[in-house]
Amino acid sequence: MDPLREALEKKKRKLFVPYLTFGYPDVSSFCTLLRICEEEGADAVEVGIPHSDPVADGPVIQTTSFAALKQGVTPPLVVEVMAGVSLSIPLIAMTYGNIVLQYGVGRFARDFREVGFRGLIVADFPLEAWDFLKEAQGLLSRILLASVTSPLERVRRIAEVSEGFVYLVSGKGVTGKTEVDFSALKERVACIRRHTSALVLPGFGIHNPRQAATLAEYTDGVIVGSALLEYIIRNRDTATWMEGFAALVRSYRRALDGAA
Amino acid sequence: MEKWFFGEFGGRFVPETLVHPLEELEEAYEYYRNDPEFQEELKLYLTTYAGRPTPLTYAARLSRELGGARIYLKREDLNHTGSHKLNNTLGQVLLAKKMGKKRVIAETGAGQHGVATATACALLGLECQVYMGAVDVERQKLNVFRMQVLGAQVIPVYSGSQTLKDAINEALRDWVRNVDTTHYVIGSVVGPHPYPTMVRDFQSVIGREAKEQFLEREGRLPDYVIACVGGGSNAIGIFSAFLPYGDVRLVGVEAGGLGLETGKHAASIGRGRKGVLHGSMSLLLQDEFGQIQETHSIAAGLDYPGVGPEHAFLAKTGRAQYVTATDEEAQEAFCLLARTEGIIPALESAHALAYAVKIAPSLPREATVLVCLSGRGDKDVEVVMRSLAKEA
Ligand SMILES: Cc1ncc(COP(=O)(O)O)c(C=O)c1O
Repeated sequence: MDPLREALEKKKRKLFVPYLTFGYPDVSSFCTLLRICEEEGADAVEVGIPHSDPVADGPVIQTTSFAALKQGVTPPLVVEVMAGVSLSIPLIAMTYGNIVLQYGVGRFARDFREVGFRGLIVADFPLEAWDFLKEAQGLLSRILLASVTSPLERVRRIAEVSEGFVYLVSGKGVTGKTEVDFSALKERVACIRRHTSALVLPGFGIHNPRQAATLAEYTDGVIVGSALLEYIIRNRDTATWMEGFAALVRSYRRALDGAA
Repeated sequence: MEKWFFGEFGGRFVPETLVHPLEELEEAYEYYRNDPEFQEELKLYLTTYAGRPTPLTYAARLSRELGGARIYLKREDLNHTGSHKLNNTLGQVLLAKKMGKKRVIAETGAGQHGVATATACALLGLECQVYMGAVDVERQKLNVFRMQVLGAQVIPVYSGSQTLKDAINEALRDWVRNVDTTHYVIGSVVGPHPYPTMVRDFQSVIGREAKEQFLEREGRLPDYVIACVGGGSNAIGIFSAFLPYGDVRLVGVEAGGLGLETGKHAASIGRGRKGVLHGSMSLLLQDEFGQIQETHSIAAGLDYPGVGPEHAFLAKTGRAQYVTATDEEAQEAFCLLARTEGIIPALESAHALAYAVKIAPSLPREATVLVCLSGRGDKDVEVVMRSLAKEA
């Protein structure tokens, strides 16, 4: 079994995986946010490596990505900063294919693994496109996305080869802007359960703890990105936004523990 | 997967949500491409509505003034809406209608593709929304109004650099949300498979006509075929008929902007590196970390940091050659053609012409050059007027 999957299964609880954009709102606050996620019960953190053309992302992650880029965030900076951060939970890099290709696939996988990353999600690389990322194999778990528009036969194929977990896109849409399509989602979870033993985490558009708990009743947990980042965008001018962020993460943790 | 690629370029690099819709599109296109009824219907629109075939014009006074090769113009400027763009939008909107889609979206930079899409939608009765970078909305007010008059809704895009590439991003995001009801009409030979192939096929009518017209007129094939390259649809359209003839030199002209050395240009083949943008592997203007760079050209239709994968392939194999013309050279060609032939070309097309102007004098009298005049320049007179006033 791959190490990411093993680490997640050991938790024996519904998984909470927050998404944060690296370097947002600034590098040092981002590092504090990571620490807060760890302390408040996140089971892994997805770290967005920003791209100038994030086609799979809605307005919130576009905003955080452009802000991070403006501050000079680059993949080498991510490696440099993360080398000085030690966490007890695995990190998962989420980015776009061109960022990995230009860094060099093998080099990306080695450098990111070295500083605590265990998985890789590439928003614009579906199953077939991973032929171009072969050199990451064995270094970073290949986490594939399945969508409510993917035919069941394809969902099955994706679940069979996805490592770590299956990232189930919860509706038709981009991050933050998606209406969760419960019936299409359920059908796909059932398909994955029937044919594989893969972990399934829905993501895209999950925006409150109650909804997270509902989804976790038949999945293995949830991924929450835009809802957390939107909180930061709205509140980062206040004195207590970090405490507020901690409380928000805690509220997801509790809701998921209640659903277990 | 091989048919998705032109050598190492092309492919389908899209969010999972779009994989199945692209498969459906590919299937539908394969079906209708071989359906005589569809082809007849499209042909009828192209002839009785768009005004095809467009003429081949011998540019006598221009050729004489340059004193070398004889220059011919394939007159896509005389196509309805004023450019080659309508060849593609008629094809795709008709296909969308056959697929039962009710709504069509498109991106546009200068507005030419937006206008052509809005036109085809008005003709065939489909709802149309066009994404356009906020910067371009400001620069191209007249085309915004044209689209609105045609019944389309123009949606300004405020993200990123607020230009063409961001309009494509936003159209892709819309498509992800609305795949059931909506067809996305991409405006050039870019994007994920099957777009580069499908758009080429719809534009290949330019080459088929030009080859036949040229043979009739000259009794042989041209020595050079020259076209401007933004995404590359008019160029692939005219090249496609001449690809099998190794003696015909194919030349694509990219936007040299203020000069390649200034970094302010849109020469994706000339100065780009291999990478992935908007669904395909191609040559891109990007920084060392894979972030897409902003481009510059006086011709809004060439102002794009990528290029169709088939052009990247033709460049790599050497079958076609890619050069650049600067803003200034394009403007000079724009004025020269107006003065010698009474034709005001689009600034995009003026890039192709500029290269013909450069090589014609040193070629013998028997040599022939075929230039794709992809559009008319009415949309550009204001830009040229302002630019010339600045120089004076
Ligand atoms: C007249 C004209 N020519 C050329 C182009 C460039 O597109 P392509 O390279 O796809 O032909 C445009 C794009 O807007 C255009 O309007």
